[in-house]
Amino acid sequence: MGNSLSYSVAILLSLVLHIALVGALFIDWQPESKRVIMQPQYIEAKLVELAPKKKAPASKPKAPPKKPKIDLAKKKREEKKRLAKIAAQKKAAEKKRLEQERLTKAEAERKERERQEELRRQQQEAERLRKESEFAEALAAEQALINAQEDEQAANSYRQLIQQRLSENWSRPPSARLGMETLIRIRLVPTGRVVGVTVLKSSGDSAFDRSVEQAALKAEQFEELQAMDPALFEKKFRQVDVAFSPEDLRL
Amino acid sequence: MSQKIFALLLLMLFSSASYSELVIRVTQGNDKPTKIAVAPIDQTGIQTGEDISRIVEADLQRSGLFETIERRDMLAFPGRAQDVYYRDWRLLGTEYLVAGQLRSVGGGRYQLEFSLLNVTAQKTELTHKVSGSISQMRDLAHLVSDKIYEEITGIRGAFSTRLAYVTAIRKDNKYTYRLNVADADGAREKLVLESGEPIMSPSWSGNGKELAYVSFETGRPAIFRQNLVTAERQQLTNFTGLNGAPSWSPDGTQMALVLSKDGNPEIYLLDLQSNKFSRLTRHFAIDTEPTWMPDGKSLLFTSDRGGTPQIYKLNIATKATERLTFTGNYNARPSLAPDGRTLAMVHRQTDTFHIASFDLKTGRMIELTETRLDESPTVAPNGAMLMYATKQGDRGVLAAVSLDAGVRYVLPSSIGDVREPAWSPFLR
Repeated sequence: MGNSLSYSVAILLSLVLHIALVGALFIDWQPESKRVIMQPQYIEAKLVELAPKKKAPASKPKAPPKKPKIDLAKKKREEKKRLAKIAAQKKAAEKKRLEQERLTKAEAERKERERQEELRRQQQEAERLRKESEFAEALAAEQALINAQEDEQAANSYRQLIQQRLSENWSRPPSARLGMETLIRIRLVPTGRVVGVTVLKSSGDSAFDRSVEQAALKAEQFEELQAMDPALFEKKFRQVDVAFSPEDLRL
Repeated sequence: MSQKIFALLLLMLFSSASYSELVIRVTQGNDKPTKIAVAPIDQTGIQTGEDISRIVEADLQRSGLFETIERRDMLAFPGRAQDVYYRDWRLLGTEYLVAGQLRSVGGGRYQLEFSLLNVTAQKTELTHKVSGSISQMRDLAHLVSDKIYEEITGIRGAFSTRLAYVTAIRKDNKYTYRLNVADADGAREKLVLESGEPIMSPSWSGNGKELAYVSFETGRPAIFRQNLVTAERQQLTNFTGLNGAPSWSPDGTQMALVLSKDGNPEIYLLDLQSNKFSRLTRHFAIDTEPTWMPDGKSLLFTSDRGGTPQIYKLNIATKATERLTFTGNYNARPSLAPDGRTLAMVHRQTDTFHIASFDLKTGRMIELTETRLDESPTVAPNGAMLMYATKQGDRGVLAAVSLDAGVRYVLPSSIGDVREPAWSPFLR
């Protein structure tokens, strides 16, 4: 009996769960599709006092215990007077204390502001230095690049000059055809004089090859190269490789 | 900041790319004529009657590819390579120098030893010997020209070739027609046939020893062949109507020609061994002016079957025809360069006849001449030049133009009207 009871509980539970499940399946349950957009809460930052608050002045000791009444009226008057006086005193002291407190607080705040200011200044300075060094580094890198580029630019203008001169000197034979290519190496000395021409790759047409060699030899001297930075000459112009390949022919 | 770094990286990338592009590329030339000096041949004690150096000079100059140095500017006349001071020639701005020596070798024969010197590179490119009798000095000169031309241009020289052409001389209201053969430079003209009736369409045999032509001497056009050495001649056709435009096959065994015996002009093939004719075209339009493709397997001809005269290609085996030209309203008289690709023809775009070259591969048409009434183009066997007939004043003359249209000259002509040039094949 106890068993069946515990079973029925379990069955009931499972029944409820199944119904809930089926219900969930039939009810078009969907996760809430609406995205909750959380508005960020802007918290107004306030300067927080970090310095420990100066302890408020200790509260005044309590009024002394009442003296036994002797002349009640007089005493009462006196007492009243005294109390008034004490009250006034107390008030004044309180006022003074508040004033003192206000001053102290203001002072602390000022100091804190100054400290913050100093901190910010330091941070800014550090940032400035960091930027400065970064900039200097970039500048140096850029300068190196510019130098290399200037070198390359100079080299290119000299290459262009050589190319132009060779083009002017190149008289192609009628056997020249589109697609032919002869690669030569021109050896130069710093005066710009051509001291040697070797064919590195032949076109297969001897007349074409010869026309290429002739073009280089006819150039004789590239006087303009004398103005070149000697280091650049050594690096790039002692040997110049030139590929001759016609692109302006009919065939 | 990051943008800047990115830009720098980009820059580095590009500059490193240009670093790898170290080879200078020259893609254009200034195809000026090559400067060459032809020193007077040293021919001490030999009276040749010809100035060999002048002939060589003229040959090279005429090709348009050379510019010769004035003889009066030369500082020395070296006969041998070892006598050459390159500096002297360099001063003249010449790239090449030809020096030669003519010596008698006995038996009425003379030997010309010549050298081509590269003044720019200061070295001898070639030394060669040619020999001949005293009457062959012009031949020796042309051989020198051929050798030098080939060495420098990479193309076989055609200075030793010949021209056949027809002249018409009017005297007392009567015409005399002459078929002549001369050197390619127009010198040493030699009469082949003289007639009171028109002579037309000379065509060289493949070996350059015979000519075929059309003569009206019998009262109507007939095709003859004639041996240039023995002067022996033979009539090949005697049909009613048109007998014309003979063209020798490359191997010399056949002849393509035009006959109208069956009604209208058609292309026929004549087997020269069996004397048998076979008809190749069958069309009511005019088919004429056959010329052989280098492989001897097909012919090019002119036909107006499409409404206007155009060039067609005919496969001899299959008789299949294919139209080749579509530019212009008149394309006729095809003459093929030895490359089998460049076709010279008479071309009319709108109203003037020009000589044009047509690239069979690309279909590109280039007008080579600008004069009126240019006709009968014939391409040199080396494909560098073509000769054509044109008018100078009211007189017919022969002119030549290079196939790139870069150079043009008029051949010094003999008397009368000159027309119908035919350039010979290589003769040796």
